[in-house]
Amino acid sequence: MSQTVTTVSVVARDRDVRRRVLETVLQETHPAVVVDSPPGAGKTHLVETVVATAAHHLRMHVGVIAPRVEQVHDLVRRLRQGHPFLPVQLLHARGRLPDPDILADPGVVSVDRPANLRRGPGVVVTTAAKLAFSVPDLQAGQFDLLVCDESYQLPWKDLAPVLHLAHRHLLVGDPGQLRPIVRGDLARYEAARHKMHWAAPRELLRQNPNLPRLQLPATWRLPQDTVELVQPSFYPDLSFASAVALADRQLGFGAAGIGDPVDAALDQLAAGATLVGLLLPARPLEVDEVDDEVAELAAHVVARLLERAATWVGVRQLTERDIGYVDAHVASNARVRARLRAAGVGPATMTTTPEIWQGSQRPMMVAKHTLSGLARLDGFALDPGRLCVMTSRHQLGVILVGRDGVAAALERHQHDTAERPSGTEDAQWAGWRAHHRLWTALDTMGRLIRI
Amino acid sequence: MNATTETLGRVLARHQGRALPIRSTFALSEDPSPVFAIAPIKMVAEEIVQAIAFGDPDGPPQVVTRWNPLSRDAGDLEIFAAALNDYVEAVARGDQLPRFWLPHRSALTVVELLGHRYRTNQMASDSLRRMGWQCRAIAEEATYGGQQAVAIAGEILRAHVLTGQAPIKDGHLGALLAWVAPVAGRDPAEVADEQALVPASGVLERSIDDRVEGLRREAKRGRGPVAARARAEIETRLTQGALNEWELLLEARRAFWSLGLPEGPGLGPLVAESKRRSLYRLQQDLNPPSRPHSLARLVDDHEYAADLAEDADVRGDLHVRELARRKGRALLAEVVRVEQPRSSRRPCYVTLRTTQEVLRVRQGTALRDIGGRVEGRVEDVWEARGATLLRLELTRGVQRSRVPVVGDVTDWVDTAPHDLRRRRREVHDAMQAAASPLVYDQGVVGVGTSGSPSVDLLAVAERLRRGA
Repeated sequence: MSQTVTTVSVVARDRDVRRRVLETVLQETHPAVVVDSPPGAGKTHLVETVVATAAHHLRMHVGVIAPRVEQVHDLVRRLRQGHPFLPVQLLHARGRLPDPDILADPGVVSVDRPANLRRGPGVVVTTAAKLAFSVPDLQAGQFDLLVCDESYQLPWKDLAPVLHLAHRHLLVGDPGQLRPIVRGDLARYEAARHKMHWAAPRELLRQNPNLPRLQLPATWRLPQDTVELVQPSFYPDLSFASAVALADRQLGFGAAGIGDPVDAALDQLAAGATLVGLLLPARPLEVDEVDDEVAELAAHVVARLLERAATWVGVRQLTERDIGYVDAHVASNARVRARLRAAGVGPATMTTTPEIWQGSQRPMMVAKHTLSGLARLDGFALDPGRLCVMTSRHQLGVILVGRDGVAAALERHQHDTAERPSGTEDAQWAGWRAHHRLWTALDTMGRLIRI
Repeated sequence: MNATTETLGRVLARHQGRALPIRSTFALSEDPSPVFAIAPIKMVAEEIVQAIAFGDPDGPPQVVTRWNPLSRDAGDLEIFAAALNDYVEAVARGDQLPRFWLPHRSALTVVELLGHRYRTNQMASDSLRRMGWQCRAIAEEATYGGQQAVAIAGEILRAHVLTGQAPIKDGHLGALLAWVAPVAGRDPAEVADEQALVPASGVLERSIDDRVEGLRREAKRGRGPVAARARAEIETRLTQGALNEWELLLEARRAFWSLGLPEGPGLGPLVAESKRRSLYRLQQDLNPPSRPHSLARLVDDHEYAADLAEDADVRGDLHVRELARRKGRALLAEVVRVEQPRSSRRPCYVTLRTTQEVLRVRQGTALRDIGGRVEGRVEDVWEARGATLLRLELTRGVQRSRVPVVGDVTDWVDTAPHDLRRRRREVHDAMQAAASPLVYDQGVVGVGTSGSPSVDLLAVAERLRRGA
């Protein structure tokens, strides 16, 4: 079967699922529906679609929440752009005014007190925290429908208090990304009957396994080559394929390279590989030690992409803004930033942690492998969500930089199951398996280029 | 502290022949008066207490022993239960912070298990059940970040010093003390190795434990003077074991306070929180939270405690702040611009310039100056001439007397705990009252159709997107 035919069928399936989501949420009487989404599947687009249909076509009063203020602002902009006729109210904290462009939009009513919210058909967008704090001032059933975007980033404790505000709920999110951050010593509550610190959809479905759970089958960001590596490693329970044609995701170069390993990696990307490792010789590092050589390498890769006039074939030549760098450690990010400046690459190339990268994308990414240089693997490094985010931000390709020795570190790792309460999830083991699978696949496919 | 710094610190401590402080301030407030110390001895591998030395660490301890700890009769713990309750009542009367000193984590485990065994045990007396909930309250309090009511000597020492031995050896309180309070004229490494031969985890020495086990058989089997002699010897040996643990605890406590650091200036809120939490729990039998609203509240409480503890540490301790700087959690910056159209009124924008390489700030990050006078939210971050500039919109402290002036150089930290518990309580009360089936019931399911299934909603949605 040709790639075009495959893409067409993926797109058709994606439409079917989106139609099914609309039916399940708006035409059936399920109290909650969970939609699992792979990276780049158009979660926010789906949220917009459901919200606009509910508010405009079915005359519903719809609430939409997201974990972070930035996500809320983005949702408002997207709603206004796609559905300019839709009445939008933004409920915000008193101490945090909306961004100026939103304040200036006459179609958005910004309010900081829940009592000032207008009822009737339309949409109220806010953060989960603001809605929760507004609960004492709102009535049960205030909304006909409550939609939660990026719901896997929200702990159950932050969603549960607002669920009575609506009769129907839609939770959309990416199950493969980082789990919500909850601080404090919570190990003793891991075996509690209600796992308030778990990601909201996970706990909702654990308690109510008969609720409908739909899965978006397509990614509009990642090329199929990436999907074949990322999906089995990080989404064993979520099958999806790329909805973009190969021809639309081609990387080219305006200038030939000098034939060193960096060019070899870039040339692999131009030849159709979308996930390639570029490795310095193994050297164990101390915990928290910043690896200067890897930082130098990462900056070198970014600079080389620009020097060789990397091009999204048929779209545009890539600029600093089109390239991103992701690293799990703040200090290491800072070192790469400094190296980038030294190499003449400006701040338009975003360098930050996977936590911040969630929800963003760039045509090209450079990522530092989370196990690079580690002799002993811990829960942080093995967290599957972290590497998942790092390997799923790109539209054209990602180069994983780091040190060789990852396979050996994974083999040496002795997994400790003693401290895990029975009946709980073992994220570290899931992480080990995901890392092992991805690394083995890259090695087998000849995608690891050693310097 | 990263592994390299820690290793270098240990080498230095080895060279100097004594432990080195790794904080500039105490993370524990001064001992209140009175204090209650608990040094239990448990059965090896059974987690059942067979002796406890307890009481005011500045006076002679009381010791209870249990010649037959596996017996259902727990009457021998009544003395401990009474003393514990007397202490709780005394601190409650004085509205004081309770302070329980324990030698090590194993002792806390024993205390926690006493709580589990007796809190709801219908065979136990009222006073033992009360002891059960009080023990549980102690163990519960110990899980909170920055708590001030439970001082576990080994752990609190390790949080303040680095020794010249391998970290794993620090787990033995005796070996740790060899470095914190070194014996004059002796190599602390040798002393530590000698100490490590003696258990410091709330159990008897192997030979004594074997002897006690043998005597226990005699005491159970025999009658008359043989059994009585066996019981007497068990009690003597258990008493000695408990007193040894007691002495170890006292030595650790002395060594800790002898570090002579000033008290962390940010400990006040931690003391207040710890006092509130522990007095409340010590005085009433509370079921462990199991309902969604109470568990949610508990998780929120833990998060707030962790925030408070981190804030107190970063503000109050120079060493901790330096570590925070290296992680980008604190930044040293100069005020280069202040924009406040109307004096003492909002809006007020402050632009900071820092050359610090590692930063953990982005749009939306809340920052507070180290003195806690002003607080703001990062509105923009950009780079210029080798420095990073941050534009903050002040959210607190816009009065003329508090707004920083151009040229001020100070640390800014991203720890800004806000006490939202009153509002959260209202939220959780509303959540409980509404009792959404999705949260409180299990296996919720909905079926059927409510709208008009003949309408293709996707087609509708697509028309809407086009603005039709």
